Amino acid sequence: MEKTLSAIAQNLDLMLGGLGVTLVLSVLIIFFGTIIGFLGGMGLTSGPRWLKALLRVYVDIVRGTPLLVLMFLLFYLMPEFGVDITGFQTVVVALSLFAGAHISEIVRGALTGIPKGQADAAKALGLTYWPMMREIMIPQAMPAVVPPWTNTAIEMVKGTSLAFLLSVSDLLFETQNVVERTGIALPFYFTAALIYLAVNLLLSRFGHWLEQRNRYAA
Amino acid sequence: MFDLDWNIVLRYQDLIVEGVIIALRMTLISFAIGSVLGLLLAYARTSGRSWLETPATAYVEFLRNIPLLLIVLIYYFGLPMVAYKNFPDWLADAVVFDGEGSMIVALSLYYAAYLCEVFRAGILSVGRRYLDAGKSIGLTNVGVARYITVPIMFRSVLPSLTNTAISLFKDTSIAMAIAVPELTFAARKISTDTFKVFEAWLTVGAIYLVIAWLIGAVMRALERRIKWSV
Amino acid sequence: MADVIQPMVEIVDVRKRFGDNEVLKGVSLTITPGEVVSIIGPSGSGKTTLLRCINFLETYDGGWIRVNGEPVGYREKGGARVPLKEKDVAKLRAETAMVFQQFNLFPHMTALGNVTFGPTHVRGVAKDAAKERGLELLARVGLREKADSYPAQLSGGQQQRVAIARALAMDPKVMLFDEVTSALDPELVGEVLAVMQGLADSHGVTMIVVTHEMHFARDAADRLVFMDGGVVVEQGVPAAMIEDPQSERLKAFLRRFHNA
Ligand SMILES: Nc1ncnc2c1ncn2[C@@H]1O[C@H](COP(=O)(O)OP(=O)(O)O)[C@@H](O)[C@H]1O
Ligand SMILES: [Mg+2]
Repeated sequence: MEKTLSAIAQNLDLMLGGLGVTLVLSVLIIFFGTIIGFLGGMGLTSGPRWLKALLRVYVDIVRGTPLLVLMFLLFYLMPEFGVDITGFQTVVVALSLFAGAHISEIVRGALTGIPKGQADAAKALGLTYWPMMREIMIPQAMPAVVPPWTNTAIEMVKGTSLAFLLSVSDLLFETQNVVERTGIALPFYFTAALIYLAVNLLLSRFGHWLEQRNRYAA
Repeated sequence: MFDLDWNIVLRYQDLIVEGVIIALRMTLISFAIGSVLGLLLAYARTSGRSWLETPATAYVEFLRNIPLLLIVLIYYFGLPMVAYKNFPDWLADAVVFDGEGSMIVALSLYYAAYLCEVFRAGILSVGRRYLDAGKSIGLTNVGVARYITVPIMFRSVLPSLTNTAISLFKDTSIAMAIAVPELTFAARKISTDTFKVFEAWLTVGAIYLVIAWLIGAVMRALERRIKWSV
Repeated sequence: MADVIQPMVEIVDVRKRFGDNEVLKGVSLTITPGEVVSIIGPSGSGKTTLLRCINFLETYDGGWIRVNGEPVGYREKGGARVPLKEKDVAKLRAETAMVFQQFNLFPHMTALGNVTFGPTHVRGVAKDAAKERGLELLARVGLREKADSYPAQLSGGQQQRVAIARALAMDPKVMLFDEVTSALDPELVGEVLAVMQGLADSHGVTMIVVTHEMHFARDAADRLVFMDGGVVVEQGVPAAMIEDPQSERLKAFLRRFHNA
């Protein structure tokens, strides 16, 4: 028991370093995924036909393919196009595209749920597309977007663990290293599990806060 | 630009077919076990008894917030290390599985948490009114469950069940991390053995897409066969 | 000739189809500044579509609409119609306000927020000035004390009065009303009609009012237009038209009304 505790104490900084990488990955992925998702969702609802078709193909292909396959596809394919891509970059791009596809669908659904008269009223006031989206449509979509968006964000935090398979030194990678070096398994695994749990519970809290903030009298 | 050589796919077709079979086998078994566990958890979470609700809720929250890959590693690497040191041999032998078995356990435990939430939503959507109606015609509690609430619940959760099944199928790809020769493993092997990166990954990506689509189509056909809706 | 009044709204032979369904079959109508015109007609006759075309919420396939001399939605180039840029369409729309059957208030803004939104975001009016004006307009529709309420907290009649204030806040040259009392409970119709009657009496703004309220059409409007099957069948002085309809179709329409 004492041996285990001191082993954890000695290796905790390694794991926290891994946590740092996991957090940076998560923030980047959620950020890019959200941007792609909002643009994608708007394109799917109000884009020209060619854009809608293109986005539909993107969304359906990415959502029907395992994240891991997407990741390896990028990792092995990019060099063939003469693009050097690191494991870290691969994870960011693959997971952003994945999150972007899911959030596109979420945003599309939420925008579609807004009564048609809202766009009529906004246009009748003389609003052009982007201000109408910013001031009228997106704020009304938010209550429907935030809960599934939070779920997607949590899936992405968990998804960063796949970076392990590209030898990116994230939390899971560092944990596995420590386990193999010390021969102590469960205490480290459960420490890692609790860290993931903590991060995701914080993310849920943030989601709830967003929900509150985006509520209006109904 | 590229020398595409699709013959490579044919040359490795045994590996690919084997990969599909293993992926589907893992999907089916895990989905079955996960559904049973999930249903039990869902009834526990809606039982109104806190000694059932609290542990069920803790289980679901814990499992849904940690990576599947971590669960896989715990079961595949961590458990044997502990089991053979601390358990009697017969017990250690009983709980330790090979790669595919470990993956099935991990998937079942992980998806039980998701399926619990699916079924819980279904249970809540059935609500009291059907229950009361059932009782009022003289059915017992078991009768109400068997003829009324469970069928209505399954009907209402069928679409979510489809999505969960597709997610589970896609997540079988993670088994490659512990060298289970499923589809993604096959793709990686072909692409590193032959450097036919395009052919390997595009073929396997397409297979995943088609199967995911087929699972959706089968489930939707099932939905259509049920003429009533909730 | 110098004092010929330029029409405020000029509709010339406008045609519009949805797929195979020709909804407007050559509608022509000229409306002078400050005039209050009521449009009546059976359901499906194209009244809503015509209003939406004036605001270019619908495109139209033939003919011309001009508001205050400006062509709506298209410009002419070598005899062909070229769609206007989005920005120019928006500018035109800002000059015509529309009040909808379903109110379409923005649910995430207060009553005052709804009224000040257009002026601040489209006209570039300063927040304080817009707010002061907004409160004035809410007072005018009798809802000063509801300024901070959200639409969901207001009755249908109150919501529709806020919608009218929102339209007025744009200082529009033309106001379009599309059956604005049809979605209201009967006891709430009067408060909205009273506001509209006040507007009509002031003759400050050109109004085109699609309505089923015959009393309003007779008492508040300067002119009555009867549409049926995508064309204007008859138009004239409201009282005379209602008492002495010329066309068979208007006679039939009015008969149905009296019996109802
Ligand atoms: N967006 C649309 N798409 C297809 N048909 C439409 C659309 N809007 C209206 N219509 C059709 O146009 C006709 C006229 O409708 P409308 O202008 O709403 O009539 P009114 O307001 O006089 O009742 C109706 O037959 C209606 O079904
Ligand atoms: Mg209408």
